[in-house]
Amino acid sequence: MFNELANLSFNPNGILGPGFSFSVDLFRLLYMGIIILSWALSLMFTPRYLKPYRNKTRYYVFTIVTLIGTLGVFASGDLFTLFCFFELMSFASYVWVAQDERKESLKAADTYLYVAVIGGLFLLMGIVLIYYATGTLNINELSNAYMHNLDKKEYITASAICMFIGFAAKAGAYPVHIWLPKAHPVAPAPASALLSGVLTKSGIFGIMIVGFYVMRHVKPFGIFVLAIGLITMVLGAVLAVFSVDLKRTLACSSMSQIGFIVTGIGANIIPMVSENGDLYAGDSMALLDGTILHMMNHTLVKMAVFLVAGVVYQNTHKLNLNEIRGFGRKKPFLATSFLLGALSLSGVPGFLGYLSKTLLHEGLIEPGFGSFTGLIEWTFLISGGFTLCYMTKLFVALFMEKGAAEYDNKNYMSFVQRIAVLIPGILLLISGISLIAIMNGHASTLSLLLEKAGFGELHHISFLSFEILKGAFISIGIGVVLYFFLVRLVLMDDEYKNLWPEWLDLEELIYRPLITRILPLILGFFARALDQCMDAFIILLRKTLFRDKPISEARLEGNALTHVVGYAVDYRRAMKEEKDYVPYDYEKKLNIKWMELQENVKIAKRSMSFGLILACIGMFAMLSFILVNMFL
Amino acid sequence: MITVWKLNEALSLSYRFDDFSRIFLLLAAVLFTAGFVYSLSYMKEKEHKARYYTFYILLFSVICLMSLAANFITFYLNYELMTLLSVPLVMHDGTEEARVAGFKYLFYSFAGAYCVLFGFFVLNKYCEDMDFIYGRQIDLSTIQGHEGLVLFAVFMMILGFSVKAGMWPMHAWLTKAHPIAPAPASAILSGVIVKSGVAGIIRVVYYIIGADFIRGTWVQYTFLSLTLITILMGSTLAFFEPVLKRRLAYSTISQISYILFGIALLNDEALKGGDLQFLAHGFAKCALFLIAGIFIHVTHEDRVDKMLALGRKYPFITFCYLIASLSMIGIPPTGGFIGKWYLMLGSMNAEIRVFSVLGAAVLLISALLTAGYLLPLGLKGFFPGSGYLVVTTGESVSKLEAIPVAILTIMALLVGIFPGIFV
Repeated sequence: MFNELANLSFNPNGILGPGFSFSVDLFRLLYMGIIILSWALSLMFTPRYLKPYRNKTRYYVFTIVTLIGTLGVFASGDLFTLFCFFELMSFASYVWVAQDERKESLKAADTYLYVAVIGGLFLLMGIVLIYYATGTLNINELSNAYMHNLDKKEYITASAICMFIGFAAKAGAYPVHIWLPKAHPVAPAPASALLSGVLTKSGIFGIMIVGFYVMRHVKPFGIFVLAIGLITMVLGAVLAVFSVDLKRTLACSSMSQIGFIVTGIGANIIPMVSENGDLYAGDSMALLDGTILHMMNHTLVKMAVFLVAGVVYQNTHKLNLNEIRGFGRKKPFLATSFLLGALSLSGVPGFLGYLSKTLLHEGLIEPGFGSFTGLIEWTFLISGGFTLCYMTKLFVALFMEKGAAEYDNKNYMSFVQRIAVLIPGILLLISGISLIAIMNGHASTLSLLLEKAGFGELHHISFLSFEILKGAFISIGIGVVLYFFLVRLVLMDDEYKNLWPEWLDLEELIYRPLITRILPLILGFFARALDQCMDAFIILLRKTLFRDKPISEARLEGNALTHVVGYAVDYRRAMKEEKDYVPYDYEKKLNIKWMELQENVKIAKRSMSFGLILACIGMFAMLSFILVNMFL
Repeated sequence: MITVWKLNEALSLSYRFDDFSRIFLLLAAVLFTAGFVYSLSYMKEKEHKARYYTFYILLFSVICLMSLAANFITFYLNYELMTLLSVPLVMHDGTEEARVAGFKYLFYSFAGAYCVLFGFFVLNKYCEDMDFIYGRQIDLSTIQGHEGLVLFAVFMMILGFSVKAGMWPMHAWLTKAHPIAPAPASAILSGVIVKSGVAGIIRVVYYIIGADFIRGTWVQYTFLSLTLITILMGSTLAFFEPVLKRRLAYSTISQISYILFGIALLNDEALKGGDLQFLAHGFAKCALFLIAGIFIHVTHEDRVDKMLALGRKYPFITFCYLIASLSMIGIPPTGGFIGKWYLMLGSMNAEIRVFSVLGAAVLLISALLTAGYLLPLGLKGFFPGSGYLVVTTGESVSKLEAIPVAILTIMALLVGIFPGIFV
């Protein structure tokens, strides 16, 4: 996909078996820079936010471990390395979700862990399958793996689907998105920003590897990914509009934006047909650039808006829109920071989000999906409209409407927090304007550098022409209409209402019953039957062949031998000793010993395995007999 | 090769140090030392200490001798001695339940031994000698016409040794004997004694018969099916089991069959995975049993759902528990992961038709179940949620108990990080 800049293999003393290898290209470097920036912003924000809470050390330690894991994922040169760091990241970030230790946090953390474990297992299965099919795990060598190994294409397809499930579970694509709307609201805000902004992108990165390297130009797979992306995009957007919880809205919005990115990847996998009907192997650079830029756009936006949500929460300790209404009134700084992010996410011209969405839009209509082109394009535009709609809803509720409570307008956030909240918004604006300037056709050093590093020819689009702006304005128009007719009329009277039916929850409806009840029930039934079968066989033998008698309660009081010997010893002692000798009752003592022995024998006889041993002796004797007859 | 005693040309007691001895000796030495140090504190209040330590030391010496055995008869002799010497450890508490468990263990072992003995008699006729030499193949010309019998004998030996290894259908003693023994004794039982059955199978398959002889025969397929059934059965039952030590015993059944699966695949990668799993499971499971002893001691509870918030009072021990659990599940960079990785690669590369993918899938389903039954205790320890009740008695954990646990956990990690050193 991109030209490799450097790679490093690392295998001293067979560390971790196959060993680690790292590889870096411009895209990865750029994104690793954004990761480090995001972590810095989040850590700047954290001290004030976590002030009233316990267990801070735990939070910081695992934040750093997660950073190592995430950087490792983006730097990995082979799938084995990627898997190791991916698991490290998944497990370390569990602490974020469970940090609060409230009941709902723990439940969300459970979901998160289950999804992480199951996703990890799918991923591992996929990696093993692809290693079997191609004999390599190096990401660059996996390029076009499907086309080069057509004799094992079933294995590669299975592997790609397994890996896709594993990565999609982390990215939050439908139908394995279930952890996303649950985990983000309960994690501390600086952690939700990273969960939503960065961690989901590691899943996206994985999907890119599967799509752009392994399954490049495999049409059915591309359509599959595209469909998943479209569903996620619409579903996330609708959920976000219906939600009345600030962070849940943002989480669902993340899902929707992930859908945009996955759609971009899916469309890019599909081979394009040129005008004279030949299959031509070039990728749509517009789509690729749009996908990558949208990843970065989304990371920065979510850093900004989740941190703003963090400011709200650290002052009010509430997230329900009805309870925090009007928190942002007379806080122009906070409003600006939020607005910058919201505008970029909605794709308002001038911001990075406009650029990325336009490129995606152009890329989607360019290859031509026949009669589906219109459907895809309008799904895309309407989802964009929903984006504007729910961001407006949040902005109006937080910064414009008047709420019941009065809020402190001075010391609601620290100075460092102000910097952390503002930086992403500023970056979005600057990068948007400068990139539009570059890509409008003005070749510059940056664009040359990008081209050299393998971004291909930068897509030169005149971003400010009417044709191009039209898409953005249709989306914005849909958003405005949706806001006034759906949100203001249907979803609120005095308060914001959540009209989304409670029971319509994929997790509660299908996954939890399946994993916690139905599967264990079936497995458990067979396992118990198997567990008991040997013992049952022995009981059967005892009841039939060995004619087991029930235990008699009466105990034997010694036998003839013990009576005689005991009596004899007693008698002898009595003869030898003086007159005042009190006879020591050897007879009784021997009898007791005899009884104990009998009891042990009884336990031995009644133990089930005694039957087993008898059966085995019998078998052994029989086989020996056959042997002797055969060979002697 | 050192020959200690010779009855005749065919029967001699001789010892040799080879690759597999190294692995087994390392495991036995670390586990027995750790268990011994742990016992110093754990057994302080218990009765019959002299008996316990005597049999403990005797058992250790016999196991060392067994791992060094150079031919089958030496191995078998020490194997049987080990069975007899370990019974007093199982029966240590002296209650009726303990005695029943001890007898069950003894008789199941005898039943296995008869099967092994039968196989030995047959093989002795067809092999020129029963020395352990890696990679030797049985001479096909001498067994011409009797392949069926020899295969059957090999299968009986595998079945016989699998009694110790807790493979279905001969696993029932394990869940009785492990929970009833004192914690260090169950750690040894689960870490080393159970492995002796694995050692027996490896010795027979790779050092006497040769893998080629049984590759693709009904023996391999039956063996594979039995191991896969056991893996799933053990994990599922552990998932349902509320009593901590019995849950660990079921977990042993499942995990040992990972190793057996690696042997049954009959290729080098899988054997490497099996060896790594052999070590990783030994260290991690031993650590888990020792930790279970501590937990049961400080809470006076034996059910998992009653043990809450242990991470608050005993963060270090609970952390070790989590690391050992991760190794059981197979999460990098622990030993369990590397073992499972090679097992899966071996499974894919083995020529066993549908079992290839099926085996890998079963390993993963079992890993999921393992996560389900091991992680909650550790995670609830650190994240008990609000309003939990402190159930611990508040006693501090002796250093003599904490240090062995720490060392075992570190070993489980080292196996994962530097597998090249071990195997």
